Amino acid sequence: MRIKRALVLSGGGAKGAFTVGALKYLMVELGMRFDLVVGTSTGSLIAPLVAIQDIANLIHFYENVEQQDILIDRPDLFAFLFSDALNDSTPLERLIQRFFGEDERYRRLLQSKTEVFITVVNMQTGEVEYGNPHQDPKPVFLKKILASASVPVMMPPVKIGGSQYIDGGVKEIAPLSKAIDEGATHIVSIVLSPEVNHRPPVQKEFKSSMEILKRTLELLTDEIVDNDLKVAALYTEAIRYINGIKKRGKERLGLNSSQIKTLFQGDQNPFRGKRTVHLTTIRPEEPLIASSLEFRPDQMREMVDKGYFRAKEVLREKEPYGLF
Amino acid sequence: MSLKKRKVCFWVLLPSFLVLLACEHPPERGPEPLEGFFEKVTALVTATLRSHLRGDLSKQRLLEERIPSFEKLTHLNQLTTEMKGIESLKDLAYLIEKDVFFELQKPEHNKERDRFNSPEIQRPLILSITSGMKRALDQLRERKDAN
Repeated sequence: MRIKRALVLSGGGAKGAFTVGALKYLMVELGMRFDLVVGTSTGSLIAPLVAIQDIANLIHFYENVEQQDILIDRPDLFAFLFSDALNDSTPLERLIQRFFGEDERYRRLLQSKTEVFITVVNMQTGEVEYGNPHQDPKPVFLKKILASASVPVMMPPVKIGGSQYIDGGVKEIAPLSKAIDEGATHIVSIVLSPEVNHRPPVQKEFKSSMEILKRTLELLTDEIVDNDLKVAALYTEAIRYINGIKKRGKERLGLNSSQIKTLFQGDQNPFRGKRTVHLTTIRPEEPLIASSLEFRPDQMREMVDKGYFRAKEVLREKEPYGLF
Repeated sequence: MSLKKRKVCFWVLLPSFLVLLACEHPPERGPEPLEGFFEKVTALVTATLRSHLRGDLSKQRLLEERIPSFEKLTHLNQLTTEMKGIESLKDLAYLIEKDVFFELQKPEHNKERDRFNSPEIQRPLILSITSGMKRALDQLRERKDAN
């Protein structure tokens, strides 16, 4: 069976700096390469640069970008009454053009052996869709990167064709299912919130509607990512269980391979043709920052360093077998 | 100016202001992508050193003291040999080598790869590494000052 290594990058705005630190360890220090990268939201800004191994630019981008380089505040009342979001994302659109649109860098992305998928949500259909540099024309792919990072209400939806697109994290923050569907056998997933039992309660009262909105988004984000991980784990457990039944059927009941195949064939078997997946998750041990939309270079640098050491720790726990 | 005239002025100026606001073209902001081999090495080395020196003041001071002599070297091998000779900087020397060779193996840097041992690559390489060292120390100092 051919090994297919996938990297799944979750959403989390400024916390993406943690991902960058983890990638510095995995790719520069350990020399890991991936056949497939799937990214959502901030992960979709990272994925194309992973494909061309441009870790230096990832570090440079996440350590130097500031709030006003990404968004322009619209006066709250004006935005609520007359526009589709509280902020204008034109600066981010220009950054995307600058970092990914340049011809030479885009050519390298098309030639890369690492396949890239980024997730967006179509507001009209409510479905998750994917952006891919080989399937989408360049202007569409760049728009999908912007859409994938466009947190609804905070940033305007992006129009592509007749539809409006928003952050893929609305439905899938850690897009593991796409990696599994693409045939990944080994997945490294970088998630930007700690496990449930490592999330301390917030010791403050949320007074303004904006604070309540931001906190609600954080809670929804945590819930979605927990579910994404649970589904992937459940999927692997289910396949292992079915494989166990097949094995016992052979050993204890004396069934031959074709009899076992008959038992599990048909459209009713949702796991037909699927394989188990080795999943390694790298996530912080404690919450990184209070708001995903707070881009402060000193904080971002600290998160890069945290990501680096957390990846090192997780990989050390995996020894002597390693990830792949 | 009478109150009536002021009101007229206000209602004439308000739409113009809103139109101007709508047409506002934000200036180019944010980081420019790094293009060259040397500046990419600086970025990688900065992150490597900052993460490993964070909270270790004695190592920070030691590195700071050694930078002027490192800057005078002419080849990467000299730099890493010298660093490996200092017990507390040994690990950093291996990591710096990894940063350099990670960047060097990429197809876009074939020019640097082909002439890697020449002075026109080695001298700027030494300077790009030492600027990464200085930048890492500056970033750690900035953080400490902020606290």
